[in-house]
Order: sequence, then C-alpha cells, then structure tokens
Amino acid sequence: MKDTEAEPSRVKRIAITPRPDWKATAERYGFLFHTIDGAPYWDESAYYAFTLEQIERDIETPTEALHHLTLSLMDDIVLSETLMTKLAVPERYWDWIADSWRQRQPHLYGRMDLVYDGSAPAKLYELNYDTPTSVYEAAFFQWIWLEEQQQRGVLSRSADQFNQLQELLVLAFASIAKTLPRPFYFSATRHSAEDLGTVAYLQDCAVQAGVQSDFIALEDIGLSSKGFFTDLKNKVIGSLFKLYPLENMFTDEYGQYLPGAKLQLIEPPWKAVLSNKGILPLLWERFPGHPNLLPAFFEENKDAALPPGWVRKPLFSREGANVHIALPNGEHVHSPGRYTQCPVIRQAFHPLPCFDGAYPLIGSWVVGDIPAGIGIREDTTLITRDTSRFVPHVIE
Amino acid sequence: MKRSRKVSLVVMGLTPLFISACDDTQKSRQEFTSVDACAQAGVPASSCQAAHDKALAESSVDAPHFNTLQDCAAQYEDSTCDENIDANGNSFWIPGMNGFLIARVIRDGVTSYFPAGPIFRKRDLSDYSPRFGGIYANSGSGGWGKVSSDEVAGEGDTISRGGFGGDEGHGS
Repeated sequence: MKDTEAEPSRVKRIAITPRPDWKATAERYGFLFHTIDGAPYWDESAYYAFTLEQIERDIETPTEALHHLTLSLMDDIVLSETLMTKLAVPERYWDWIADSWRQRQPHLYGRMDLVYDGSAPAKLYELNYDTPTSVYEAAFFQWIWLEEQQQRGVLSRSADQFNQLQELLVLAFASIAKTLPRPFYFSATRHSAEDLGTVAYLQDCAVQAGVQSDFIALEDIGLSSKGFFTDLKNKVIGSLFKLYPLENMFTDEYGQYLPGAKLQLIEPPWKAVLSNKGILPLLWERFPGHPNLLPAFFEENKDAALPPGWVRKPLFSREGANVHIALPNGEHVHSPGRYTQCPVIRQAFHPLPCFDGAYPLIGSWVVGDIPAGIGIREDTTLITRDTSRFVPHVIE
Repeated sequence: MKRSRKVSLVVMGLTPLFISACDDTQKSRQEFTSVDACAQAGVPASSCQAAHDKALAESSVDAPHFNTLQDCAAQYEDSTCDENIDANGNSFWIPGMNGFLIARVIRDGVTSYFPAGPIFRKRDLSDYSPRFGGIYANSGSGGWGKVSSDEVAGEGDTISRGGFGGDEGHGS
C-alpha cells in the first residue's frame, strides 16, 4: 500500500486581496464585531484551501465519529457520582442533568476544535458544546465572502466550502420548535457585542424556521415568588437559549432555582458534562489510542510540575484562558486568565501547524447530530485565544 | 456541494441589535398631564407628543372596564367616565385618561425617552397606570422618579432580577 499511496498533501494557506468594501459589507449584514479592540477579527487577506478528500475523510467523518463517541459516554457519566464529582458539577444539579439526558432534551449545536494540516489525522483539542461562538462568521459571512469573490472573478466558480451551517441551523430550529415551551427567549449578557451578534444571528435562523422568539438580556431575567424565571412583562419564560456557560449559571445567585423552574434550556443541562474539559480524559480512558484523540488525564495536583510535552487546562476554561504548555524542549508557555481555582486536566502536547507564521485551529461544527461545516481561527501563538482572527476557507 | 445553497438574514443587519432598555440604576419616569408640561420639563417635544398620542390610543383599551357608570364613578370622577360598546354590542364604562407617563433611560451617557402608557386619576387622587399598577401616587413635584427594574416591568409577582449574568460569561 505504502508504495502506491501518494504522500498526503498539506492544507494550503493562500494570500488573497481583501474585498475593498468588506467592512461596509460586514456592517450592512450586522457583523458589528469584525474588529475587536482595534485589531481585525475577520481577516480575509488569506484563506485556507482543502481538497474534498481532506474535508470528507479527515474532518467530516471524524467529527461525526467523535460526536457519537462522546454521546456514548453520557449514560455512564450522568449516573456516576464519582464522575460527576470529577467533572466538578455541583451536586444539587446532578438529578436535573441526568433527567435532561434521559429525556434527550433537544440540543442545537456544538463546535469541536481540531488540529489538522493535511499530513496526519485531525486531533481533538476540546469540545465547545455549551456556548460555542463564531457561528455567524462561519455560517454566514464566510459564505458571503466566497460568493462575492466568485462573482468578482477572484476565485474559481468551481470552489466550494464545507459550510451547511445555516441550512442545518434553520432545519434544527424547525424540528425542535414543537418541543419548546413558550415564550421562547434568546439571551446573552448585555455588554458583549460578539455574544449579542451571535444570538441575533441564531434568532434570525429561528425566524427563518418560522419560530418566533424574543431577546432578553441575561441580567434582566426575573425570579417569581414560586421560583420561576420571568421576562420583563413578568410572564414565566418557557424556553431560553442562553449564550452563557451552564457552569456560570450554576454558581450565579439564581442557579439554585434552575432544577425546579421548569425552564427548557438550550443548550440543555446535559451539555454541562460535554463542555467540560474533563470529557477529554474520559474519552481517552474509554477509547485509548483513537486516531483523533490525544492522551489526556485528570490532574490530581494542579500545582505539580508539568513535564515537557504536556498541556494543562482548567476544566472550565474558555477562550484559551489559563492554559499552561510545557513544550518538548522544556520551555513553558502560560496564558493568563481567571480560571485559577478549578480542577485541571493534562493533555499531550500536539502543536498547531504553522502556516506563514499563523497557527490555525479548525472549529468543526455539529448541528443537532450532523457535521455541518468548519470555521478557522488563527493566532500568532500556539494558544488560540479570543483575540484570534477568523480566516475563511475553500474546497478546491 | 458542501455548503448551504443560500444564506439569508431576515432581521439581522436591517435593524440595530435590540438590547432591552432596562438598567435599574439609569431609569426613571415622569407623569405629565399635557404635552406642553412635558416639553417644559425639558423633554423633546416630539417625544412628548409621541408619548401622549400613544397613551391616548392605548387608553380606551387599557383603562379599567366597569359594567355601570356607578361602578366607574365609585373609583374615578364620574365626569370622566365614558360609555363604550364592545364588539358584542355590550356597553361598558371606562375612565378618561388624565395624563401620560414617559420613561427616561440614560445609557452610556445617551438619554432616550419612551412612551410609558396612560394614567387615570382616582377619587383618592392616587393614579392608576395599567402598565405599572396603582403604585404611582402623584406627589405633584414633577421630578423624575427613579424606578427599579421589576417595577418598570409591571405589577406581576417578580420578586427580583439580576440573579444571572454575574460572571461576564462569554462564548468560547
């Protein structure tokens, strides 16, 4: 076999002239966070080019497989006090989470972060299964970019993109609509332009599926005397899409009322188990040596010395915060953050590939249970943070 | 093809993001009996007119309904009570609008005004607002009364707000 098989080709990063009017286009389409803190977040000065085989064999298929492997752990986790303790889920939420899984309460989407450059199997860095963002950039604005660059003759008409996100999101809303108690609200904290943009886009997808909803700032949600959550007209909220981590809701003042409030959450409570970095050692324990998994373990002592070739991550870290990398050469890289008090895991170091000084991480989306497309964020360092740039891609 | 056949936005981009105007430290409201009085208090005349017109339009719907003039007059001045006919041809009585409320929201240094519905003057000289309940006793001082978010929200039994979002949580 080895003699006849061609050397696997590397993914390409290709420089391209940005559309001169891209900022105006972004603003026309409600993309108000294209620039963050003065630095470009949307970056179309380059794009990544994949072959169809790379996408289908190395990203789409493993994404589906990893998604199902992960779900296959759910039964055991929610019934195990030991595992729920290891995942640092507060005990008062255990039954509520287990019930939500038993009922298979509907979920909308998730994003898994994959490391891949075309030369070896994609490796799973982590799951963002509760509050994934960058969906608007991936689903909508990336699509518009390709369409316009084709119309202007800059990119070939035959170029494609792995991006069925919007179609599948609209479908997903249509299919869960019947199960959602009304009124149905979308929610995010009121001061994050990025989160508000993400929520506005998802709400738009819901409208296109014929699902009516409203927006309420998370801080405005009220509590009734019976322990139900209320909107600004004091009506009890039936369903709430919240772009806010479940584990933060748990420790917020109102968290204690969640199990009794009969509030349908999206993402549902059972996602608290999957958005937790503790799922990575559990996956490795159950499927050791899986080609798309990196060795990972719970770290009993978070202050112990980290040997070279390992990465330490807090269970609840977001946006690459508080990650500690011990490079194989003994050098240490730390990222700042506020997740200093929570338990940690250790994952084998597997560097992001480097293209012209950029380190891309592939966000592979799952809508419902279907692989739906990718969005690439790149940074100038090994740790992808919320300051990274979103760079579009094509299938050549 | 491995991408959506089309993408579209039906709301986003056409309208600005709507963020519920409800910061309890920055909200107040005031009652006026005329557009002139409102404008004299420094509110833009167009905002006064809009608040007045909207309140008037809402007043026949939102006013408390009574079966008889006597019932209406027991709580409101009988000279303001008017007879109305509903869709089924039945008669009912409602008090006339005595004034209107205007809400003021100051966010990030920008002041905006919102119509906040009609008010009806009761015989005991307290005021009734269909939107906010009978809580608005008129002091006659004419100042901007600071209001808490649950009060602004209405007269339901919401006992508190703000118990979520303590962490500036972001997506990932």
